[in-house]
Amino acid sequence: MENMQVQPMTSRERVLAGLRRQPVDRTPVCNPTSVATVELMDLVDAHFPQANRDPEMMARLAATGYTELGFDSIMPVFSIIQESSALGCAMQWEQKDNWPTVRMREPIWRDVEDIKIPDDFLTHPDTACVLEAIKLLKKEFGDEVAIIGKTMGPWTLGYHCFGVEPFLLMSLDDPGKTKLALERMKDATIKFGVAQIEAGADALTLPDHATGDLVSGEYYDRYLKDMHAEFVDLIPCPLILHICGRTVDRMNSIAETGMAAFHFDSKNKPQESMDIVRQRISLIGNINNPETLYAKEPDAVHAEVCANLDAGVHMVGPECAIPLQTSIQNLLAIPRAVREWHAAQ
Amino acid sequence: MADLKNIANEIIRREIEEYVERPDEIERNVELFSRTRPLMQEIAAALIEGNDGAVDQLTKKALDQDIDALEIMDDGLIAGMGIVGIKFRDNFIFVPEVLACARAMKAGMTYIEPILSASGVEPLATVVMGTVKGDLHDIGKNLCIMMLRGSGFNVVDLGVDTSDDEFIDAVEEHKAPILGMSALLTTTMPNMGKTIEAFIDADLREDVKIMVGGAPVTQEFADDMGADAYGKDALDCVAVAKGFVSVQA
Amino acid sequence: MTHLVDIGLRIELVSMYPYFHDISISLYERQVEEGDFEFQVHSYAGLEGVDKTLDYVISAMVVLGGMIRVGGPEEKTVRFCCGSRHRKACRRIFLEACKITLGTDLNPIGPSILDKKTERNIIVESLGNGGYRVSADGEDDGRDRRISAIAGGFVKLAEMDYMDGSDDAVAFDCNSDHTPLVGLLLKRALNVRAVIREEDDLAGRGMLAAPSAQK
Repeated sequence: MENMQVQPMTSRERVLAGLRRQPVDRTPVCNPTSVATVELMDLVDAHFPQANRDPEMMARLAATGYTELGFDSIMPVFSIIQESSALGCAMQWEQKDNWPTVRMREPIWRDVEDIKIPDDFLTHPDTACVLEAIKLLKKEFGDEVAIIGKTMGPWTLGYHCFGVEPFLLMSLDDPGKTKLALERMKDATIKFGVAQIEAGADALTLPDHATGDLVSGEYYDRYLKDMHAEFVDLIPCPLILHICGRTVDRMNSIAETGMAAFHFDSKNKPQESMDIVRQRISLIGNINNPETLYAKEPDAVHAEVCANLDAGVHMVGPECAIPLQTSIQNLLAIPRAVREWHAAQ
Repeated sequence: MADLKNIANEIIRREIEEYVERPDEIERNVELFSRTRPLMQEIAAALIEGNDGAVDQLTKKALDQDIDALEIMDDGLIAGMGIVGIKFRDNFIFVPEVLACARAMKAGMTYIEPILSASGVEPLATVVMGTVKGDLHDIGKNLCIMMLRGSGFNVVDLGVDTSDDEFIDAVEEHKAPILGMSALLTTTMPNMGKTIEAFIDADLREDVKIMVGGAPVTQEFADDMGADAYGKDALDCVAVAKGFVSVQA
Repeated sequence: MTHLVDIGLRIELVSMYPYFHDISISLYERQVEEGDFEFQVHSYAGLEGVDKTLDYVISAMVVLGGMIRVGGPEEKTVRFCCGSRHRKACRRIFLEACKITLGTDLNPIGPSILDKKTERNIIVESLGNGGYRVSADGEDDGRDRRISAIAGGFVKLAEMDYMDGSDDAVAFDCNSDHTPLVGLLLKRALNVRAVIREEDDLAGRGMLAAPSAQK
């Protein structure tokens, strides 16, 4: 929605306008998910796994998305494990070139009665790290660039804390119990989200992996749509819903939640997605990770950016947390392609 | 060509009519269910509906009627899982339903497996399956395992975060002719190549066919890494494994 | 903190070089004015000692892959004697160079190997002008098929071409010799599954035996 009458904007203004579907000077380049790479880690000497646990390293690495790559946002929560770690899940921290992961084969909950958000949920080192990193970034960059936090949705927390298969079987065997479990887990989502806003986040990514690769669109309606609408009321900042995989069959429902944006996967075509959501929600995406960003050259990245811009996608960025081996050239190609596309209009 | 009307069980007829669309699969399933006895069709129908309690009871009933364990497995359980696999591939059902069907299959196999082992009947082949080192995701691998077991393979599941040595030890211990590796992350996908090189270094590469799969994996990556085959989904994994067996037969 | 560089197209990455602080090391390709191709090794790590590490990797690429170092010591750049791209081969040389323990003595790998699959000695003989013929000793049975598979392995790994309709002789399209590279690739050429798969398919297959069909 580029408007030639719009004065030059700061990156932050651009992203916030994009989230509201208001006029922008150019399409924002936005990363609701991580753009950390092993080379950027070396560049600023902030490596995984420590960069997931040390606020200064976290902030320093995340800032490269803006200072080096030219994105309009900084998103310091590289992985999806902070809440689960604070809830008590067993973690595997891995090494520099791999993601920290929850040991979902060692679930901490079996039944709804087991669900508990501990008193120290926000002071646990892994949640506290995020809050501190956001504060550091806000202090350094002020209102220059959008700081995006991240809070995991209850469906994903269900996978982490119950185990994927037990949780999915429960969703089939006992929908009532599943809904109750989601109700209880959502408190973690809200608490952590609100805390990040108080720390200075301008928006929040809310990953909730009810993906078409695992569950039906009807599941989204049954279990999550109303809850996601509730989050819009309870978490006072623009929310960016993130669901990986095929999601066209649930995009209409997602568009009705009132969330500011949907971060969509490359398995969904930009134009088709835009036709479904019809300006009821901003779309962010959807540059393919495993084939394009990871394995192809800047020209291929350029082409995907243009496909999104041609479709009118509101903000452009990778579809999900990028592979850690992604080349910096491919990442630089994204804002470059956006600028060139606009210059050619 | 066999007729749907020759299938006694109404649920099976409906499942084929509503969910099986490819002509070759229609023909194969109609022919299969037309010749199986009604009780086997009941077992298959119960499995397709994810009713583990019914599969348990019907399997016991069939054994009490002196029906051969192999026939129960082939014509009841595996036949049912065949329909489940098609429905899953074509997005009529999703992972929760497949998990329920696999649970039902397991209920039946609890009775069948000991009988088959005792009578020396061999599975199609033994497949060692694992998610590679550094990767803790297993839902894709587990779906493949369910489908492989549902197709008559014996599967040794190494779980997640599997090292080269663990893959090698398992292949040697079980004399498995097939190894399947899964990775969900681009960061862990290269470990497939490392494991394959470990097999080469251990002079074991020729003893095993290696298939790979997972969200970031493509045919090109599979070829680059030195795998024998790439399976794009759980049903494809079974087709690949069957292809390996047919080459070795 | 170091800074971003613009030195060509990144064609390969070692994300954690195990012999020096797990630094990432990249390989870049670029075309120079005369149309020739050069390859630069680079790391964003700013630690002391990175320079020497990169120098070692380059030395390994020179010895193992028969490449030539060009430019000054700061440039960390190599090329093939022919100036051609040979991208796939260069990536393999780089990856193999990064597998060698830092500081180890470097020696080229000769173009012969014992093929454990068939218990034959495989020799790759230079025919000049970039051409190489694969030969094997031992009994006739299956020998030609094995030779053909290995030659096919070189075609896949080094983007070589078959020579004049033969299936045991392959050549680099630059018509230049790259014997150290051939020696380096030989072990992998024995195991290129895509080629072996094609050979197996040609050899025919048996019938699937379901459990119920077993005797």
